[in-house]
Amino acid sequence: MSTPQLQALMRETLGGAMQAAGLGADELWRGYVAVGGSELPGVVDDLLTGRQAIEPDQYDFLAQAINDHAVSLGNRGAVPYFHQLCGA
Amino acid sequence: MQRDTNLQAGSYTLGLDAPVREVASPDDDGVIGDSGFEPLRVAYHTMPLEAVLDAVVRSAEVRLRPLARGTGLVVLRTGWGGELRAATAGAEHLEPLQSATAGGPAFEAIAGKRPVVVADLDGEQRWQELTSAARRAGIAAILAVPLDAEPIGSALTFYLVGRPRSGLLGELRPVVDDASLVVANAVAFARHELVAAHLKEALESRDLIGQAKGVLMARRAMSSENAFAVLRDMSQRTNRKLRDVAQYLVENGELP
Repeated sequence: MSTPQLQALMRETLGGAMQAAGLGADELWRGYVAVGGSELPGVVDDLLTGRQAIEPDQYDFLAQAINDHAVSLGNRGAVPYFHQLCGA
Repeated sequence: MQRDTNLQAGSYTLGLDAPVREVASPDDDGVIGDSGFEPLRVAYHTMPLEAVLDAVVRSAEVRLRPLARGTGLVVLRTGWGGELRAATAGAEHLEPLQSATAGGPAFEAIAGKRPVVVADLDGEQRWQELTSAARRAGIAAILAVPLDAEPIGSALTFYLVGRPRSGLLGELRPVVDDASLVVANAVAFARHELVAAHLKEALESRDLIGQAKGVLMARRAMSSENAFAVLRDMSQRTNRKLRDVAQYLVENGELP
């Protein structure tokens, strides 16, 4: 999978999961910080909208934040981590 | 924390020698108001938001007595979903009859960003449940005035026992300006408090995860990245929040 394809897949995966979980940008950022993410809200927004490339570790922080939100709602955290997403 | 519920509404005479209003801003005590006329003084930084909104409607009504028999306030787009409401005793049974779905003068005032006057309750067809109930309560007219508190949408609704006379809206300006400032600041303050509380919680979680990573790094001689991967995979396998996995490890010395 090429880098642009992988970037698009990561964005689509995160964006779709956010929408499915009803998770807003502010809440996602707080969850991202809670699991170890260290970028500012604007940077996270850039990652999600494609203005900035998503590094694997940042993707995993965001995926974890969405999964934690799902778990807190009594659901299963279903967002794959980076190595699962790209089959590595 | 001691809550200051002191409200100095004072009296207000419509249209009589109302002084020019100076720009009001929070003073050192976080109190909004000016000294030009009896101000709405609400220590919004020490009061629960609901108490601030209650103070706003009570104060607004005091200033419009005896014309107003009930006053309501609706606040939309606060940033945390839903709507906030407050009402004086005379409006408690009327305010629920206007809503985002059923409509009502306040919602129309917010949407149109201009006052809405229902001077003929019998002739108003759009909000019959509200106007009928108001009429039974001895109300002759309803006046809804939007507050200037963007991006929040909010409006005061006055239930009047007489028809609004010409010039009433202009006379109401100081009341609306006061209420706008207080509501805007109180909602912003409450929102910041909420964000701060969430951030505190997030940072505590982050610290706990850091401790758990430290345990794994020390015991298994692994990198920080690999320690995170261990916690992350355990979170996924057990469908637990990462924080909970970390807490278990820190407290029990082993993974769940």
